[in-house]
Amino acid sequence: MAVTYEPIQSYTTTGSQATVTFSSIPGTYTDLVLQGSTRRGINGAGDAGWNLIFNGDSGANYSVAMLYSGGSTGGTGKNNFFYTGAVGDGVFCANTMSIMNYASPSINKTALTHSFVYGNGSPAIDTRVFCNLWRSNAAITSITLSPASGFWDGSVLTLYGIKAA
Amino acid sequence: MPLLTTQSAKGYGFSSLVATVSAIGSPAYESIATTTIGSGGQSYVEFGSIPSTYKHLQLRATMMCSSVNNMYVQVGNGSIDTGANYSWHQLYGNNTNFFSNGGGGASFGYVGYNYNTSYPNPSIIDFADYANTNKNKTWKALAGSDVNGSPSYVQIWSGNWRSTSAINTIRITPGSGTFTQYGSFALYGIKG
Repeated sequence: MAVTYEPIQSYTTTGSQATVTFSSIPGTYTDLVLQGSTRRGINGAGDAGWNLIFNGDSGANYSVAMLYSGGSTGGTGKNNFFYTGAVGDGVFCANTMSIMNYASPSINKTALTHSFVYGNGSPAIDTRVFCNLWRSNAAITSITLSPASGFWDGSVLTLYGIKAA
Repeated sequence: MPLLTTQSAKGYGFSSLVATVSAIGSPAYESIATTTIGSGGQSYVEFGSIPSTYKHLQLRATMMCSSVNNMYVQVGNGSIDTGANYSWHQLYGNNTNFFSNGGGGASFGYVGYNYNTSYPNPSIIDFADYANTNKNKTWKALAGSDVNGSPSYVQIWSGNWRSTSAINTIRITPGSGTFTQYGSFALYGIKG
């Protein structure tokens, strides 16, 4: 029988791991959901995001709108990666990222993410929501996450597929 | 005119991220119906005859729009309620600021603001306990509109329908213009 919501791949990092890559993602689902419990490789100030790219594209083809608490306001940015997700200092941050219509050859790709951030910067703790855009019509077949300072031992990332009727 | 594809895709699998309790091997998250906008566009999308056998509903959409506009949601039992029975709140961020807003006594709720015409506008709407006839109905939404520049938005919404009727119809309407080709809307049922 058809499965609507199922795990595709899951990783638990060992040691301090610089990168996690989900590869050979099948194009048979409608949306992807990336669920994470992630911590930095080392503690310290600096970027606390996942720094995510699709299909190995490290060009300046990504942008973000974000809203975060902790005394800060909203913001936007253009990058050569999705600025999304969170890795914390000393704690594992909760993340849920939905990648919408990831296999459609007709539209650019978007994602919505809700994350809890615990960092060593300012603000130290906040909650964030992101809307990201990858300006490519290519179906997503791989996802690579490379946070600054990598992932701490025991970070968990699980990719799920959601299939519409 | 509304376009509704009513299909059921029942299957067995995991219910890992969905906070439900179900017997091992039984499906907890099921696809109810899907619609993809064709070349002719559509003035709204409506899901009708929604079964009451789930605990919650989730609508996942990628919206393509012909004009910059806001996105309305209306619900009903048997037919869409167009009366002043809705209230809503929003929190959103753009390039440099965040905003909050709300309204009551409205004839619709909102689930999107300033959706653009150049890129997809994603939206995830959760309708909690939609079939319970002992309470008014509520929903929440996470949505966004990234235009690779300014202004881009990410938005959090909540909404209320002051009726104890079970929801069996949901309509999403752009405030102006139409939905355009390649947009898609998928309704899922979550068992409890």
